Amino acid sequence: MKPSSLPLRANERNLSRDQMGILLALIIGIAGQLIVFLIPDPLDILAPQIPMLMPRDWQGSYIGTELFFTDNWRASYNADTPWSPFVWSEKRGFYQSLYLTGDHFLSSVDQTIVWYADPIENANVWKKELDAGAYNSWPILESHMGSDKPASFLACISDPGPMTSPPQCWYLAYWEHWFTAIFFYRQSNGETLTEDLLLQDIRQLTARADELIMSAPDEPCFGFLCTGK
Amino acid sequence: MAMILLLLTLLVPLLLLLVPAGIYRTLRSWSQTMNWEASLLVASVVAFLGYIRIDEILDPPIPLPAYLFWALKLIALISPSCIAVAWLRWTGVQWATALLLFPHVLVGAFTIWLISQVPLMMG
Repeated sequence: MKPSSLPLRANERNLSRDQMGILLALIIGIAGQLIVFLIPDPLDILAPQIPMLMPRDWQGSYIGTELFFTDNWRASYNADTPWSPFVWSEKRGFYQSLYLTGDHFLSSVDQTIVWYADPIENANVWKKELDAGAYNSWPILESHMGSDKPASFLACISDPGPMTSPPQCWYLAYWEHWFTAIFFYRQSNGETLTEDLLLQDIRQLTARADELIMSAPDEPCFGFLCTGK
Repeated sequence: MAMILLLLTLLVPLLLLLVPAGIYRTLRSWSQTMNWEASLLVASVVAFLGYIRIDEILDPPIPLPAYLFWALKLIALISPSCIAVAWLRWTGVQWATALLLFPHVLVGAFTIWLISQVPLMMG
C-alpha cells in the first residue's frame, strides 16, 4: 500500500460513517413519524360499541359536538355532589350532541353515556334519581321501572326561558352496565316559535336510546383497553 | 396570561432574529442558512402537530402507562428533527450545525404551542 493512499481510505471510512449517520437519523425520524401519525385514535375504534344516538336516528340532524370522553358527569346538577375523574376500570363516560337546524331554530340533543363496570353500582346510583319524583326540580312526566326495558324517566319544564321553546326535557335511563342522560332543547333566534321540539320526536329518540343501551356490549373496549370486568 | 405574553415577546424575536443571524454567522452561506431555517420551521410545525395528536388521542382516561405516553410525546417532538438533520447533513451542512436543530425545534414547537394558546386565552 502506498503511503499516499492512507488519507483517501480514511476519507472513504469517514464518508461511510457519515452516510451511516444520515441513514440512522432518517430511519429514526421516519419510524417516529409513522408511529406518531399512524397510531389509530382509540375513540374511533370504540365509537361503534358506544350506544349513542346518531344522525340516522333523527332525520335531518347532524353531529354538533363530536364524540369525546367525559368524566364530568354527576348524578345531578347539585353543587354538593362530589366530583372525581372516572377510573377507566370502573367507569367510562362519553358525550356527543346532535343538532337539527330549521329556519328560525336550532334543536339539540345532548347525550351523555356512562359505562359502569359494576351494574349494581349503576343501579344504586340511578335509583336515587329515579325515586326522587322530580329531577333538579323538573317534574317527571313519564317513568318506567319494569324489567323488560331500561329503567327511565322523562322530566320536562314547560317554561324554559325566552330564547328556548318548550318542552325542554331530560331523559335518564339505565340498563345493566349502561346509563344515559339526554338533554333535549330548542333555541330560537329571537322569533316566537309556534312549534315545539315535538314530544313525538323525543319519544321516538328515547325509544331508540333504550334499544341502543339494551343491545350494547358488556364492556366497550379493544385490546389493552379491555379490563375483562 | 401576562407571563405567557412576556414569554412570547421574548421567544418569538429570539427565533425570528437571533437564530437566523447566529446560523448565518456559522454557515456563511445564504442557501444553507435558508435551508436550515426552512428545516427548523417545518420540523417545528410537524413536531407540534405530532405532540398535539398524541396528547389528544392518548391522554387520560385512556389507561396508557405514563412512561409510554411521555415516550410517544418525546418521539413526536424528536423524530421530525431527525429527518431534518439527515436532510441538512445530506445537503452539506456540518454535523454540529445540523444537530443544533434539535434544541431549536423544541423551542420552535413550544413557541407554536404558545401562539396557538393566545386566542384561547383571549377568548
